[in-house]
Amino acid sequence: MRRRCAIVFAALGPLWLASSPGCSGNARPLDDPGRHVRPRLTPTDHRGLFAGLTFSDGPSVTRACLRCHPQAARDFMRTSHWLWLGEPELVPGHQEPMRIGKRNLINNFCISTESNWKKCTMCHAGYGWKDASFDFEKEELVDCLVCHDRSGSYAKGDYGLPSEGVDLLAAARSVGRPGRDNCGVCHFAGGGGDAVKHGDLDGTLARPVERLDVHMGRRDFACTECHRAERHAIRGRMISVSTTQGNNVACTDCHAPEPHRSERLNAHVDAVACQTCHLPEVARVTPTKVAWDWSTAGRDVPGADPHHYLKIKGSFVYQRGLVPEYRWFNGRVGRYLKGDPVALDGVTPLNPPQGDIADPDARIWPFKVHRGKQPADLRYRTLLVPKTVPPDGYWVTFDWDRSLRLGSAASGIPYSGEFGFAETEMVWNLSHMIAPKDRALQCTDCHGEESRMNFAALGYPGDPADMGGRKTRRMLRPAAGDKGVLP
Amino acid sequence: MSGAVLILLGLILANPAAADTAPAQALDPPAVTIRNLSPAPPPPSPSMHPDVILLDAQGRIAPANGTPLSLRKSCGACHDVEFIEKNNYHAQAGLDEQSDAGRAPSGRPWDTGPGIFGRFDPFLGRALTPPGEEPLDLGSADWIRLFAARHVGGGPAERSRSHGGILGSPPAGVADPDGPSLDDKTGERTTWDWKKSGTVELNCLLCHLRRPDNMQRIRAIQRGEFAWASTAILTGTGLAVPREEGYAWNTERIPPDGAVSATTLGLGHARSDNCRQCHGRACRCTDPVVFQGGRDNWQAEASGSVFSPGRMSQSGMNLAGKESLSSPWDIHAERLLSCNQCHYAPNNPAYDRGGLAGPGVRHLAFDARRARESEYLFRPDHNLVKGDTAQGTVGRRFFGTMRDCRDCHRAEETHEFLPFPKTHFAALECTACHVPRLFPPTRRVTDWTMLEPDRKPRVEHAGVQGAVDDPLSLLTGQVPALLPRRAADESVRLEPQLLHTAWYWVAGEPPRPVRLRDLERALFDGDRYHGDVLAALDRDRDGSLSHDELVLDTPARVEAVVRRLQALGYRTPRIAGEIQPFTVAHGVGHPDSAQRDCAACHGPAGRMCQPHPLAEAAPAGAPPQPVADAGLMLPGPIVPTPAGGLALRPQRCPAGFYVMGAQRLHWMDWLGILALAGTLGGVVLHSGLRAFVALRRKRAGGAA
Repeated sequence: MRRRCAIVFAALGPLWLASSPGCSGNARPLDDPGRHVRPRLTPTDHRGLFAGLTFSDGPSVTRACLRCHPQAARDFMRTSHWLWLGEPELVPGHQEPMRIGKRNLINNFCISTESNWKKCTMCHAGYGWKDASFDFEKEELVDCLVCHDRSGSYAKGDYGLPSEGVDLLAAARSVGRPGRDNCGVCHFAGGGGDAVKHGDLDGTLARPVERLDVHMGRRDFACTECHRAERHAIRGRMISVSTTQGNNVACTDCHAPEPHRSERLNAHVDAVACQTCHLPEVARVTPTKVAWDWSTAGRDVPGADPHHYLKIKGSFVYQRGLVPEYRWFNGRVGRYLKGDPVALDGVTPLNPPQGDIADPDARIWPFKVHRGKQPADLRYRTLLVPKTVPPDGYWVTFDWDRSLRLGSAASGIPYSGEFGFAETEMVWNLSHMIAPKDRALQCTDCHGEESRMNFAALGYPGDPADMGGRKTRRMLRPAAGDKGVLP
Repeated sequence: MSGAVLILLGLILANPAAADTAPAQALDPPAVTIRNLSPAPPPPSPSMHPDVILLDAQGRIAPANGTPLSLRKSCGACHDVEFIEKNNYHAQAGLDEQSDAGRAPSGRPWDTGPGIFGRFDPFLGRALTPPGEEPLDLGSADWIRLFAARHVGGGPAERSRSHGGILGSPPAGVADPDGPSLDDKTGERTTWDWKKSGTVELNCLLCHLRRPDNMQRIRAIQRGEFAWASTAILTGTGLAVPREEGYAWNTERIPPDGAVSATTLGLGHARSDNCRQCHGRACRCTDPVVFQGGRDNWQAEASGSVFSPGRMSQSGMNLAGKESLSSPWDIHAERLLSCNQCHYAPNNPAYDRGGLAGPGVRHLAFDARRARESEYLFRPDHNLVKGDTAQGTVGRRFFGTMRDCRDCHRAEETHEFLPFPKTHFAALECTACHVPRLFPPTRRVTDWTMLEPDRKPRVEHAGVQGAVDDPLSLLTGQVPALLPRRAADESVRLEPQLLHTAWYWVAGEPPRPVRLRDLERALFDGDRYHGDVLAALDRDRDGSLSHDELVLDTPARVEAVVRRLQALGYRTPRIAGEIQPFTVAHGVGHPDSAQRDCAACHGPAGRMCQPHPLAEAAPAGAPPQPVADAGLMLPGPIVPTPAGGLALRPQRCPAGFYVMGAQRLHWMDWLGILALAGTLGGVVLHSGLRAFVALRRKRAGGAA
């Protein structure tokens, strides 16, 4: 027995010494996000599966897919990628739950899908959405290739139909797990061009370097690493088309809620979203559009830079290295809906973030703010939908009145015949283009005299580093269910 | 006919359609008409400071009279400027600690004080001449101009070290002791016209203006326009403009009553950027840090001090391994601390901890009594609390008044990984581990014994491959020497030090430094080196002296210069060498960048056992010694290196510290050997006896 103990001690002693933190210099990692990343499944090679088949159109490809994946279309047809509508939700300021989405909302870029299906539905994962009568129950209209084509040759044209000359058989034989460029076809080019809409999503993310996006650049993440799908329902919400953040992706899906070694930094996480510090700026390479003024459209300006002015669209402002604007955000937004009143003299927020300094669920988030000036009915004081696409839309006729009448007929928004332009504001919460941690914001970026943070606008009496934060100052209102005890 | 042609030509030219063959000019596209394209800026910080009436030294409205601004009068309307100037070691610069030559703490026979006024600066090679001595090197007016970039005014720039009154106003019937000066161009002795120049008042605005125009202030002082220095600093505000002589007031921006708002002036508390004006790179901004040597960045060049929140990886410098250097230059700057939050005014009620030494009574841990805000604002004590460093020699009575690391940090809470934490905390300054490497190239050698062709000393820098001012040079960084130093409270701890070694000529008895101007005369003959000097130093006989040849590394070469100095009348000229340590007190990085490798100290290759380079080349026969007021304790001799330089070679436990693993104690080794031998002997004896007894028993049993 004594001998056995001596052997155990002799064997374990050095191990104990080696594991002692004293001289190793390696502290225990607080955060191990890698263990949450699912291993990638190897997709089935489809190259030999379509022997003897020819595809004349998109639906014929889908029919072939459904022979082996019979449930796939049904699953997909329940998702917002197909319906362009979300689940019923109670929009702040409105009494009844309603389904909203790209299909029926107004934004301050191209304004509305309604009456403009020809171009807008180029990004619909379906075939042939030409008008309001599109059959959302027809399985063969689901476009499998736009997400699963790995040949890089597949492209969509008007009404979401495959572009002229696309080799559908080659595309079908290439299918696999969606890559960044599959998602990017629509999400990088939202708003009509690369980087226009989001600011944190653009073509540079197709093959990003680490400095551009640490997840994609260092770890080679595809979008689906975070936006995981269950039966084709892809996780993720965008506050431009949804008022809630349910089923969304969060940093804490993989990272610890308080992942920093520094207690000081961890003390921020209740009030500051991760993205606020880890996204020092967006649109780092490709400029993003920050303002669009439709009111100047229609003039012939030969030689104008298309990034500053287009006759069909008006005047723009683009910005590279955009420093976000910061607002409280509790995961919900308000939403301007068709027929809602618009401020003709002020600015109408189309999707104002909900939450304020007293809201315990709200945190300070970074947003891209897109400022617009778009058609409005001067008598009814509502925003209007113009028909812009050919053959009879504004981009061809340059006749606002006619375009608005056509848009009114398609959208159901009454049009009095008197129109003007109203200023609007739309926000985009930013989550992509996360920088490596050694490029995250530092204390002096937000605190001190050269702060990027407007603490007064956020409701603080002064810089919280000097005056105390909302907890210290007892500014939080009790959460629902609390008995008035402030944290 | 010709008239018709002219008319036709005129018609063609007058017809724009015919004449304009250039492409149609592009129209400007209509601009965005959205009213608020960017978010509203944050509101400016409110200022409660009342308007300031700009007065001159006579109390008149300075702009209305075109006279220099007097801050003693203007600021003195509300603040006790007299008190502020007297209780202010930045202003006094050692004037209030003057002693006879040779009795200053530095031990140099010619020093008369511990501050920059009276303490020899080997970086500059000029010495303030003790009162009444000849030959003159620096008189009071010369000192003011030479130190314009490093002195805030007041003190010796305003008052005489001899009679205590205002400079240029000696007691009746006495020759002005502060009159002697050297002419800049000729080097001839002259008498300074104090009436024309005025004096340099304490410049409150240098520290309390948001955008002080320090270049103009320095320009005014260096031009001898001392009285205009306070006006010059307002140039950046647009209230004053430089003239051929002096400055003019921009009366369009100043009302007739001379009252200017604090916002217009940009008045406020002292920011780190203000300190940066004199102390070098101490900014709070996030601009990429770019190193520039020279007098305006002397603190970085001497002590490697960069108090900036910016990340090293984003600096403008060519740092080795830059991409991985994610730590800020100084974590305290990054965490929003400004200089004055550590170096605060001792009677600032927000920071005062109840007297400099605590409450002073046993039953109190904290004394809540404070100066009232009005008292503090009237008489803010400008003897800012300070640490205890080898180089911060001025204001010795305030050493250690600052809160040190342990006053703010609970080290025990965060050093669980560290064996024997109390022993480490007692023996080491925190910076020993938390500033493991410094990247700014620092001055290691200033050798005034030979001059470069541009009349500058031979200098060496540590931590750089290539010329120090070349942006392409690779900054490799350096590990500071970890050396024991005796602090003002007599405690001895191991601190990171940067060692600056200087050599210069002294002559006479008591010794005085050879004047730079005389040294130039000795070494040069016009634009070329003197023939005797050239003959002694020109090793390759090419008729010129290269940088490598500018070292007096043999007695013969030393003697060549000695003879030249003797020819100028200097008696017993000889080389003096000294080591000025600069304690590393800033540049604390992120905790992740701290030294956590025990073997860095506790091993045969530990930093305390390795020779520390002092110089790549050294003059012969002048081993340098630490200056007396640094408190430095050398753990070994200074030895020549095979390459002709010098190094500090540690030989013993520094100042009684035993560094486990790094140093041997022979008695401990012998004790161990004896213990081992005793144990083995015991075991052998015991087992032998057991075997012997067993054998006997066996035999006895066998017999039975």
